Order: sequence, then structure tokens, then C-alpha cells
Amino acid sequence: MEVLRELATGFGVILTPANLYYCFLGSLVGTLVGVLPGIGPLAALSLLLPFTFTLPPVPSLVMLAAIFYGAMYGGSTTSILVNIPGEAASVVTCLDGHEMAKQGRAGAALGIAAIGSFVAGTVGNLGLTVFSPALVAIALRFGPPEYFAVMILGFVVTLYMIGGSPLKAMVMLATGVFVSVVGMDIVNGAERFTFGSVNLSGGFDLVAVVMGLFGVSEILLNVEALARGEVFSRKIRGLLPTFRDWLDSWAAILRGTAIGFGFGVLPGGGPVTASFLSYAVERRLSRRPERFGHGAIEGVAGPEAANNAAVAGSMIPLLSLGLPSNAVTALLLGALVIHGVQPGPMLMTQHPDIFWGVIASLYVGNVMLLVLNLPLISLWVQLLRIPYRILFPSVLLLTVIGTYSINHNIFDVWVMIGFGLSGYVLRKLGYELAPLVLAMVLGPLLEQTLRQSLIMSTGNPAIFLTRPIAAALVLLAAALVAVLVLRQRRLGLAGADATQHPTEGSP
Amino acid sequence: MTVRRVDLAVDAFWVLLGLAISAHAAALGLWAPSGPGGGFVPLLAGAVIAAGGAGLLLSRARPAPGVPFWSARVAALRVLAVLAGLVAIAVLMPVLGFLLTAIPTMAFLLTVIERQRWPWVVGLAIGSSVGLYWLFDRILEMALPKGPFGF
Repeated sequence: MEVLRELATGFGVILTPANLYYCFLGSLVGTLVGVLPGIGPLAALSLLLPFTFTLPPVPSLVMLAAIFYGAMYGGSTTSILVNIPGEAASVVTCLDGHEMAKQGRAGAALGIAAIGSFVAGTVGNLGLTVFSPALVAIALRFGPPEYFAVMILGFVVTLYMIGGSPLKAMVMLATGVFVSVVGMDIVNGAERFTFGSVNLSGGFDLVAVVMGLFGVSEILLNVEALARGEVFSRKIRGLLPTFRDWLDSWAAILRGTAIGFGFGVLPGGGPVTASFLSYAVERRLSRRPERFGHGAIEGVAGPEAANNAAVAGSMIPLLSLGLPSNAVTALLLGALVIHGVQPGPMLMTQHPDIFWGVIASLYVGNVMLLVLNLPLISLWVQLLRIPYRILFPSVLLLTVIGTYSINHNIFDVWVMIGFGLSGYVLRKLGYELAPLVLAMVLGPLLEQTLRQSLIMSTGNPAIFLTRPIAAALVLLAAALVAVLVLRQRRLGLAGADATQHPTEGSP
Repeated sequence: MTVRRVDLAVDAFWVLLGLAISAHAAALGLWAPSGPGGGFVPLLAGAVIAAGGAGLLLSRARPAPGVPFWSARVAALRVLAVLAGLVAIAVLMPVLGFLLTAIPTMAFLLTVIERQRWPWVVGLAIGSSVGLYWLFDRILEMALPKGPFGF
């Protein structure tokens, strides 16, 4: 009952004209970036982050979160209609969604994607509402050693969750930590790795790094692979699925919701992993797996439900512990810090308007997105008629504007270009960039809690093994590392870099 | 240039970067009377980067087929053109302002990726640059760089 009362407070916060406007604006922009290939939710969030500096924290967070889940809705449209994923979590929707479109069933595919997303989003939000306060109660017992142990466990789980080589993910995590320590030492104020540069004394700006790694590298990859894409010109009919479609899809939607929610909570998980796993599960459980890849509606319903439920799941560690589980929530964490709000378990008690307002906005945004994505689908289809070769110069200018606007310093644009080129090369070589951003955001907290812990124990690292919660987390992390090392040894060193050199980004 | 060569170069870069970070971190001080010094965490990060790079290098001991890094020369040229456009913006924007930099860069990018009729290119470059300037500088008041003519 307490939870319902608090949630009602959240609805009181969100149901004001101004907050509803920003929730709608975020949903609209999210759908837009989801529909348009080449602009992911992360780039859109980075771009709009400077604009939100002038807003109070609640509308700012509400809008940024709406972009995240809006992109999950919008991404399916492009996948289904033109076989190009609007964003990474919709890659798997192409397989059966586009086949359905080719069979004249684009309406049913879009309909089940939107309805599945709505159901999963709403159920996921219920989970978020129930589990977040419970986790806050546990997290309030955490001191620096426990926080440090949670982050180490999170990094280890990331090595498991990220596709491809764990060695590459490890290098990315360590690079992220290194990037985060450039600038002023948090304890004694001494400059580190600045080489006398005034521009570096404040460290690398998160938005410039993210915009480069995800925005610029995405443009470079798209421009490299530029081809005359198919332009969708058919009329879309029958958005409501048939009785047969419902029978085939309901279980897939529920399973996708459970998978998405669970994987959203895990570090390194999030919508991309959840959608792929949901597709694999549906195919495995199907009585006729040969239909998959040829227009099976479960292959659309499950992954689309999973990627939306993952958004709600990923909000749990962010709002309860102040720990992001993927790059997008890392940026949301950055937004909280920029607004002077200390993320962590005290957020619920110190800023209930933000905590419950954001949760309530997810319910409201889900309804808005259903309206935006079903009746207005023909409007979004018009956007698909814009060729990328026309679109990308404007997107490039947007990245420059977004990066420059943070500090009004051209140095940030150079940082963006540098990280953009690095991100392009690394993505071509099969590196996942999300761990770098995750570690960059968590780096200062990781260093702070490690140093505080060792000061508390007068330099004795046994502090991580003498406190029960920290010890359990550290031992779990150690066990996972041992299993990972053994698995890699069995695969042989060649398996250490099982590179397939994918060029798909990850949010 | 093959993917394998770039892979090897990047692996070697990680080893060198990790070692350089560790060396610099050691100079920052690893331990202070009150606990870990400013170089402690960077040293750990540098060591992991170097170890990861070395592990990746070892994993490539066996020869592999030479897949080209770029599928075609034109693809590489497109990437270089976009990078050139970005560098031009970073160099010229503080001097000429946003609009005088954005319009020619847009026109360059629209032309170089796929040859199109010049009235269309000029119209689109001016229209989108002015539109973005109006939206971000005037409506959202983000104060974009101004040139000698005040825009």
C-alpha cells in the first residue's frame, strides 16, 4: 500500500501540463530516432542533454527516459518495413518482421510490435515499482566496501553479457576507468594525465565522449556502407492482429517481458541482449521452428516485448543504487549528477519527486507511445522516404552542436572527433563500446569507494572479505572470473578473441 | 590494409597505452599515509589494458585469412570525407562562426557522398544549416559560435 501511495505521488508530479509536455516530447523524439536509421537513443540523449540543463531535474529526466523507451518502440517500424534496424535492439525484429511485411502483413507485424511493447513496458514498470523500493531498503545498509564490490561484480557480469570477446570487453572497461581518472584527483586535487592542458583539468566530458563513440562512429559506419536502400511505398492495412496472431503471440510477449526485465537489471544486459535472447528462446520453444525467419509473428512479438521490458528493468539499479546497467542509463545517471542530484539509495527519500515521478512517467509514456505508434504509423513511414545520404550531414551538424553546447568549448568537438574515429575503428574490429561508457561513468565512484574502503581499513584489503555483503559479492565475482577463465582456456587462446567483427552498436 | 593488420596494430597500441599509463601512474604516487594515492587506480587500469592487449596479441598467433578492412576504396574515401568535414568544422567554426562553416561543409558532404544537382545541394545546405541555427541558437538559446558578420 505504501508503494501505491508513493506511486500516486509520482502521478501527481507527472500529471502536470509541463511534465506531460516533456514526456510527450521525449516519446516523440524517441520514436523519431528509433524510426530513423543511424541515430540511436544514446546519440539522441547526448544531443538533448545540454538542452535539459535549463530544465528542472524532473522534466529533464522524464524527457530523457522517454527518449530511451520511445526508441525501442520506433526501432521496430524501420526493421519491419525496410529491413534496416532503426536501432540496435531492433536488429532481430528484421528477421521475421520484414518477412511479414513482404507477405503483405506489415500492419499485423507493426501492431503486435506496438501492443507487445506496451504490455511489456507496463508489466516491466509494475516490476520496477515493486522491486525498486525493496532494493533501496537493502542498499541503505551499503558502505564503501559494498558499493565497490557491487561495481566489481557488475564489471564481471558485463564481461559475460557483452557479445564477442571478453578480453576486448575487459580492455574497454579498463579504458573507461582510465578515461574517468583524467583530470583532478578527487582526494587531493592534484592533476592526473592532463599534461598541463587547461581543457583536460576537468576531465573528458561524458557527452563529447559518448557523442563521438556512438554518434560519429555510427555515421561513419553508415556512410561507409551507404547503398541505395529500399524505400517503403506500400500502403499499410490491418494494424490490429487477428485472433490467430494473438494465439501465436501472447506467450511470446509474456516470455519476452520476463527475459527483458531480468536482463535489463543485469549490468551489460539491456535491450539488445534481451531481444536476441528472446528470439532464441521463442525459436527453441516453437513446435515449428522452421517458420522463424519466414514471417513468424512470435519472432516479432517476443523480442519487441523483451527490449521494452529491459528498459524498465535497467531503471531499477539506476534509481535504487545509482548504478547504471548500460550506456543509456549511464547517461541518465550523468544527467542526474549534472542537475546536482546525488544518485543512490537516498534518491527515494531525498528526492521522491524525481524517483516516483520518473517511474510514473514510464506508465504515462507507454500510453503516449501506443497512440504515437499505432494511429500515426503512416506519419513515421513518410520519414523512411528520406534517404540517408541526405540525412547524415544534418545529423553530423547536430552532433557538433550538441557537443559544443555543453561547455561552449571547441576542445569538446575535438574530443568528439577523436573518440568518433576510435569508436569507428573499434566497432569495425568487433569491440563493444558500452562497457567503456559504463566504466567511465562508474569510474569516479569506483575509485572513491576503493580509496575510502582502504582508508577505513588502514590499507588492509581484507575489508572486502570481512564484511558479509561485500565478501559475498567479491567471492561471486571471483567465481565468475574463474569460470570465464576456464571457459576461455577450453576454447583455446583463439577463442579469446572470437571476433566476428560486427558493426552493430549497442545502446 | 587487412582487418588482421589493424587488429594487430590496435592490440599493440593497448599494450603500449597500458604501459604508459602505468608508468605515469607510478609517478603520481601509489600510496599515501592515509591510503591509496592518486596513481593507484590508474595503475590498475593501465595494467589491465596492457594485459588485455597482450592477451589479444597472443590470441592472434595463428595466421588468419586477409579480409580487407574496407570493402571498397570508395567506402574508405567516404569515411575520410566525413572526417575531413568534421575537422574543417572544428578548425573553422571558432573563426567563421556556425553558419559560415556549416553551409559549405554541408554542401561538401552532400556532393562528395553522391553527386547531385548543385541547386538542390545549395538549397539543402543553406536550408538545413539555417534551420538548425535558428532552432538551437535562437529558440533554444544555446549560443552557437558567431563569425565576423554576427552569425
